[in-house]
Amino acid sequence: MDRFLRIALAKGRIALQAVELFENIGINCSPVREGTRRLIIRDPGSMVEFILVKPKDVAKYVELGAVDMGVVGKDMLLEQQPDLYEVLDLGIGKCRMVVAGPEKPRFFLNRAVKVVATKYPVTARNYFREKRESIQVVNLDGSVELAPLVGLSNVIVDLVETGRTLEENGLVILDEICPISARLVVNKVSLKMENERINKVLKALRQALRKAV
Amino acid sequence: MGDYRRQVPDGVADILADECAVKRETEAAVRGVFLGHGLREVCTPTFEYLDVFSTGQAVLEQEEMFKLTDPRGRLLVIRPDMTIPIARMAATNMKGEPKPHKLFYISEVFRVNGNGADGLREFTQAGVEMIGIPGVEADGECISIAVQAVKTAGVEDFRIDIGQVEFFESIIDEINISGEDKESLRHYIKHKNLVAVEEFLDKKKVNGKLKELLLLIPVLYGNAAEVLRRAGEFPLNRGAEKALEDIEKACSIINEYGYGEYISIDLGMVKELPYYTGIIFKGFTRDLGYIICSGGRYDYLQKDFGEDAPATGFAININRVVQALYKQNPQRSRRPKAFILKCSDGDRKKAIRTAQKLRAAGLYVELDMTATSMDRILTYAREKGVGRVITLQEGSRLKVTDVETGKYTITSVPGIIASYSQASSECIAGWH
Repeated sequence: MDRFLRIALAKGRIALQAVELFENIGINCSPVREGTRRLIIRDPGSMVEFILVKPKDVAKYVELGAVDMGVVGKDMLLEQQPDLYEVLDLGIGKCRMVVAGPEKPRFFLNRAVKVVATKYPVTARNYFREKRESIQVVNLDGSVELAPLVGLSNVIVDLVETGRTLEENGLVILDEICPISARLVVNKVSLKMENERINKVLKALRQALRKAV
Repeated sequence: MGDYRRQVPDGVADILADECAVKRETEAAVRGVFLGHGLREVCTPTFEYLDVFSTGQAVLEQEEMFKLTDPRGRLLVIRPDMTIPIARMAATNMKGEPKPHKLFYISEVFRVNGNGADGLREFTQAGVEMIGIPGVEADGECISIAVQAVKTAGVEDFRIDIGQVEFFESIIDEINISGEDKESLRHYIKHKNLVAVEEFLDKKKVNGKLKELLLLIPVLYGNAAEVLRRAGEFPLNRGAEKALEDIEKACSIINEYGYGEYISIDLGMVKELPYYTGIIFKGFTRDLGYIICSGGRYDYLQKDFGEDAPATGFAININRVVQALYKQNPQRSRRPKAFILKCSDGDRKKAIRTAQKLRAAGLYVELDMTATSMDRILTYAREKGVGRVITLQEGSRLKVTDVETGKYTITSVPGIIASYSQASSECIAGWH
């Protein structure tokens, strides 16, 4: 008996876009499109099984081998540095990781250390370490743009898609850290043990992506 | 302050009896294979000076190590690894002995931040170090020993991927880039991130055959002959060529051992530990998402301890092997040699004598002197994985009741010994 190839998708917009890609290569995932409440969706035709998890958890599932593959934002990979194979840029969920702040920097703390508010503490620390700058990180869970406005931080490190939120709150991009998009990641053991099936999916996805360009 | 009296810290765990039996059997199986290859077991101290682990090629960041201070204020660490202490031991206390040193160990090691995917902060490594052997023959032998040890422990569907760090290292030597850039490229190749590799090469204006090859490296894995053939189609420098020759030779040695079916190649396996200098390998099974053993050649580590000797070795993560065994056979372990002998006040002496005779034959006999009902003893036996209960009968006759079926036979001490002392050792029997 063959086992199902398991793919973890980050719930939300990325999942819907990823589903389109998978349907293009002949994997039926209509329940995901239709907003099912089920967390495991099987397509016996292609022997593929999708699980829907929080974006933050995708890499963990893949790294620990609970699933064979996953679709996850590059932002999560930068932050979590999981031990897995990052085999394909799916070109969806595109945005940028940036440093942003008020146009005119306001110094409100009597110290030389820059305070950085972010949902991505590891990414922020790595970026400023490369710049040889000492920082203090304030780890927030959302509405990071608020932090410089109320004097919680000097700058923020966050994802920006259109830049509208920044603009409306009087913040500007001070530096771009890197472009972000959704990646197809593969468990290190699965790639070897399920090589044939995974490669088939990879090849088909690559072809579909090339056509789309 | 929290009260942690009833808890253990993250990353460590009690090992209950059933699992402990499997773990010890696994260790015994691995030890047997190591001894069979003429390797000799050694132990090193549980803690050592920090300096041992923080010189030259040492691999672990200091924040990875549990530290203590001795009464004179010197920093000690609880061993995070065994390869380095054994290198120290060989270079100092074994200096006068003729080489090679073929050593093994089965020891607990400790990491502050947990070890990789499973996050254990204390785990058992069973490893081999061959110090003073230069050739790839020793690498081939190491891999064959690893295959046999993992197989003997009972892991199914197991495979070892072989690489050679000098393949990639020689190739990037052809590009004129900084050490930091090399590290980035190594990182991309390690994660098989073709997009990033291509971007990097374009940025560095690497073109032609070299670019083609670097883009191929992450996918140069799988069947040995096939991978070697594809890599051989490129014009390679001497270092990369030598790396392929090493792999080919190691593979042919492993084939001679009869373990060809267990190996494959991954030329995209790059140096993860800075001390590796040649063949490296990683073993895994389908049923566990992370590696269960790894190793490789480290020709310059001894230099850190003032001795010039090439070396190669590997370590098996025993905790992960046990995890794989449970996943592959979740069925509870049986204890084929275990019995409960029921007795009461009146016949205690006879019961003790009987138990002693059975124990002398290698059987495990637990005396039950509580004089409770047979039903309760059977329930207890079932819970504890004991398959049979013995009750004393007239004269030297014994009644043996099978816990599962309730059926019994009347027999004697020699009868029991004849039937059960040949049963294969505890637990492992349950895996097959």
